[in-house]
Amino acid sequence: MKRREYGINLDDGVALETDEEFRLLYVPCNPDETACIQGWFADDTLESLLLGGQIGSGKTTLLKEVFRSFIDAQIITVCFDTDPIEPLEGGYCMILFGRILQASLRAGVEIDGCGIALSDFPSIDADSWHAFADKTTTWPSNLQEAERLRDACAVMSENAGLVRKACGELLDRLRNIMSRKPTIIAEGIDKFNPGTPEYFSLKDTLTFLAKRKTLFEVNAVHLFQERDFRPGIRKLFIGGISNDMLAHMLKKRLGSYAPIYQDAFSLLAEYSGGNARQALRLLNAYYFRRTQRQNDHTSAIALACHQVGKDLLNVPYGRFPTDIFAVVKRDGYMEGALFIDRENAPGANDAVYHNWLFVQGEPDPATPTKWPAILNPLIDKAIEWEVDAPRTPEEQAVRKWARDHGISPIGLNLPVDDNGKPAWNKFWEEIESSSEEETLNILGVLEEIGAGLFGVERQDRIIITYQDRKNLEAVRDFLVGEANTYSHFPCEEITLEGGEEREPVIELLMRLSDKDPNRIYSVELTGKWTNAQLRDLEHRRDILDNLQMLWWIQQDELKRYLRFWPQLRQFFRIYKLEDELWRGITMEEIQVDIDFIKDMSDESDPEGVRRLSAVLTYLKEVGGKS
Amino acid sequence: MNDNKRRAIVWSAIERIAFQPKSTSDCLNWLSVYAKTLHSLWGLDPLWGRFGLNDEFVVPFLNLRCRHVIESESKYSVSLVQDSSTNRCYWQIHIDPEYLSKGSLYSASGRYPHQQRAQLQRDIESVLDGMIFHPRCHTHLEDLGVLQVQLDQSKGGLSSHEVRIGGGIENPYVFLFHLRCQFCLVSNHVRQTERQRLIDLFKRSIRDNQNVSAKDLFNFLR
Repeated sequence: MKRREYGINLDDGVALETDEEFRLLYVPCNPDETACIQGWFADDTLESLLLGGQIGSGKTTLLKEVFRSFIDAQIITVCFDTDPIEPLEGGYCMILFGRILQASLRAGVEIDGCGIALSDFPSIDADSWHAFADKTTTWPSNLQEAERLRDACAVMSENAGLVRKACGELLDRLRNIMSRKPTIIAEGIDKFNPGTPEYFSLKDTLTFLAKRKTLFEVNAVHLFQERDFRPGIRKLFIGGISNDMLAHMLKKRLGSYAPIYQDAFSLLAEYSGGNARQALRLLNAYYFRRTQRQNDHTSAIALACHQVGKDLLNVPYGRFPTDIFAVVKRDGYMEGALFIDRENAPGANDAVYHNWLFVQGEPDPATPTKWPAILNPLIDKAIEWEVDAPRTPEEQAVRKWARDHGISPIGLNLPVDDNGKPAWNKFWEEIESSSEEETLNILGVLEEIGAGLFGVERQDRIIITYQDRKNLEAVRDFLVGEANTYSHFPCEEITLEGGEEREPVIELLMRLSDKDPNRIYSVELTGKWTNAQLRDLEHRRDILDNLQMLWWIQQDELKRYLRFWPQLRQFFRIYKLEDELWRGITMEEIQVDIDFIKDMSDESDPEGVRRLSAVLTYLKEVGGKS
Repeated sequence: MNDNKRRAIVWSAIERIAFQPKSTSDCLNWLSVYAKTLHSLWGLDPLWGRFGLNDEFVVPFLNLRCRHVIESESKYSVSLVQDSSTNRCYWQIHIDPEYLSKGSLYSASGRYPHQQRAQLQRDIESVLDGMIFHPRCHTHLEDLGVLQVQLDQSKGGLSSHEVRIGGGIENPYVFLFHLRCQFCLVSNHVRQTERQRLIDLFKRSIRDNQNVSAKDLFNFLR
């Protein structure tokens, strides 16, 4: 992503990638862990390693930072979240074999005789191992190609053991040629919530890789599942980032303007709970409130907490682990045994996997089972705990403002049941109902999403949810047309229909096979998505990284979907469209924008003119305000 | 021709080719490009879509609101107002062409002397400094009561003391353009780069006797 050398560089907490991003924005929050991974890369005698952290803790950025110094090393990276053609054992085996094959071919390894023959997979239709490697590691460009790859996956599923054995054979040959152990990075394991069928399908592949020199990128919850890898496997935990480091990160994001907003850093860091992404999203929301809405400091903090809590944490209440909450609040740590204990494990997993709790660091050697943990401040601060330490005047002011304006979570008191215990159900209901009222007309949406839509320095992903579909095409055309008054932004329209016998995720992969960061992707989700399809999309979150996207999802459907998307929702902000969509928009203004684009554009038929003309036609048809 | 005479010609030429949009539609387009590019020079996320002849915008890092009413290319008013509930007005200027100014009595005549074209770059530099970057007659923000701010010096950020609000600027488009450059505090490097871009742009345009479109004036890349 193009970044500003001196100015503001905000986003919703995507991993850093380019040299420019590292130069401008990287803060070395985990020097010990960085040194440890660097040492691991350099030392051939070391065995597999779990690199674990919660969502948004900065694992991917840390890995990329280390990776930059080993650019020429023979490292095999396998992205198990984004790259498999399908989320089944065959899909995981295929991508693993394909990546090892690529590395082997680069090193001049003899492939024949590895245990797999080209003729075993006629549907792939490859006449050489190079072609085989290409086809098994790139997304299909059409449905026929996808079908052929899935046929091959089915064969691999039936012979998964043999495929892994062939992988092992190639890795041995590679080691002999390179005279050192091949290093494998298993990326994206963190996207697999333990307990899901997809994770179950992946387990044997994980066990196989754990016997090699593999670094697994996992969520914190996987650190307690070592039997899925190898008993006694080495673990490295990326814990909470100190408030000082978070403040430094926020400062870098604001570039030269940091002194203007530095008074907010300590509170924003405090409400981040040591989580980098939560901090960046809070900063983004706070900055928007201060600059675009001219809110003062106090209200901007409260509204930022509200927005981020709503986007990241709010799910229809199901199995909220209230007992674990209460214990962590009281004791300040989490017992490791909770993650294994049959009764408590699902709740403990959920609490950590959904970032309702933040594990702050590894246990002290004197108490090796006690993991220091806190409630996510966006939940914690919403609750009037009897035993809390006195609040600072600044915090009190924020809470008062929120309470006076009826917003949550900051300032919202936790309802109590008849026995005086916290009524968690009602807590979530209150959050839910307070955000029900926050609908926007199109101009409001445009204002909220403009920072991403109108520039090349950031690409945001937005979910626009609605009650009745009406004419979403006109809304989309208006947003895209307005973006085109700033620059040339072509728009790709994608409809993903879910349901049995449908292939919405394959469709998405095909449409994104040639990703363009200067394009606006408008994606409408229709049909009845199955749970498996929703989980598949969840795992592939990272393919949406650095793309400008507008997603359109019906409101009730979105509520169901969000339960499956603890990872995916991290990359999105969510806005609700009100029924009075076109309030405040006049045909004259649209005509002015059309004339403006015509005047500025060198093209004969600019996209913006087409889009806004369609809106004008629509408004005339429905008798819009003129 | 002496320096002053040449520079008077350059001053008039720059105003004529870049700051005198003709039709209402030209004026609105000029203001729209102004609005759509302000964030870019200041290193911010996009904030403004379009400005009308009677409009306002906020300068968030200075806690200022800037209001303008343009009646014609020689009649306008601009106010700088505190961006808060108090709406305290710091400063206001009215340009009324019914009355004389020393500048209005003088009109540059003749063409830029071809044989002295080696001087053109230096002449443009001088004129742009006087017109845009450091007007001879100016006031600093802190003198108006605006709270002084200092952007991050380690990133090259400037202090609000570096904002010079020019007096006696009779063309509203020149005035707004000069505000755009004055409020650019993000980095001295950015200011200097912008200055050099404008020098190069006007050198080309005056040499080729070409008007400067709003697109080029604001470096509106599409």
